[in-house]
Amino acid sequence: MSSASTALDRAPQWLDAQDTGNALVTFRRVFAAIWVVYDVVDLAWGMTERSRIWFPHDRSVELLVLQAVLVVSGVMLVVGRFVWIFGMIAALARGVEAFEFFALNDFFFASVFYLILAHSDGGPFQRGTRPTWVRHVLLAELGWIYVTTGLLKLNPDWLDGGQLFVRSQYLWNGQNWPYPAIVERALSSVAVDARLSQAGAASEIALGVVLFARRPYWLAAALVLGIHAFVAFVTNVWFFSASMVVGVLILLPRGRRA
Amino acid sequence: MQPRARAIYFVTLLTVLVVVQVHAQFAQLDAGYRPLSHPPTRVPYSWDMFAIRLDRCVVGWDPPLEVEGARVARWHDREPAIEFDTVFNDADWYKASAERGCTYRTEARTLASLMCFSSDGGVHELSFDCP
Repeated sequence: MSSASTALDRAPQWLDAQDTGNALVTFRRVFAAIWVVYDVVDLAWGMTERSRIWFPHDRSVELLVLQAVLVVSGVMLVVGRFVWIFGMIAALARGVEAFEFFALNDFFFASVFYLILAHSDGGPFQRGTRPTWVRHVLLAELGWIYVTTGLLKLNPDWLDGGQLFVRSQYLWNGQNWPYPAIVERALSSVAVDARLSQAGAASEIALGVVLFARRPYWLAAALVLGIHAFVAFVTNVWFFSASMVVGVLILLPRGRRA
Repeated sequence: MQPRARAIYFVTLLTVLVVVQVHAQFAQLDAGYRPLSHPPTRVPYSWDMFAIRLDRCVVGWDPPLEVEGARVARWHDREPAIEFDTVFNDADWYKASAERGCTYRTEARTLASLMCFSSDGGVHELSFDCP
């Protein structure tokens, strides 16, 4: 029997397999809650609107509607009602927000995760179940994101520390970012930024590989916490960082490979 | 019938995810990205976070502007401290925005200033009288 036919034979079993434990449901609730907070803040204070155009202007009605749809969809994913329908709506709304209003990588990322999470309750065919394949696809998606973003960072701008220099100096000088003095001194050195950048790209690629292998948990946990604590505190990216951390910590099996 | 429909649905879903994201990597190559040589550009679903070449500038005005009733001495006076920020990838856009901000000046003689950081480690300062 060829390996291809073996894989085809196993596919129905894989599609039928159910996830034991609450990891999938927990991740859906936490992920959706993170982005509900983001969307409520965005809706209330017009943050994306301001990010698009800093100068005073009327808010886009279409964007307001989109943000309201995202809040409602997110709440429904948190409470676990009509998961497939609202997951698909959230994926579509987030994609429209990214393509039509503000091309933020975080929005593209969230649209993909909503699309996959829409099936965390069984999708249109097996409602009320917890398909294992959804967890596996989410882990593979996380792995793909880390490997590709790590590989795309293998360029002189990133590896030579220039990117980190620009972002950290911008925060320090523009927002009086509260780096401790020793950290600020280090980050103002392009040579130090280069070492940190190289370690960052290597860590991302390593984390991607660990996620594809789905073990060891301790290494993935250490890498994801290290990468995103750094990203949050040094570059002011919080919601995306939180999403990635909970994704790895909740979805990756702790014991033997799931 | 249902298992067959489910299989088709699943294969379609997975195909969409794979095609979109693999295509994004080829789009990066088409746009000039070369490993260890040329940085990537913004391509949706390619996961180019922090990887593209960019500048960032800190913008200010002296005396402060008046925008929607508030005094604005620095670009970040109208920004929250956490997460949300209005940024551009090119110093020219910051300069154009500093000029546009001059329309909100309160005194005829107002100085706009920029401190720009570039990924070669350079710091460039520029100031000009509002036109």
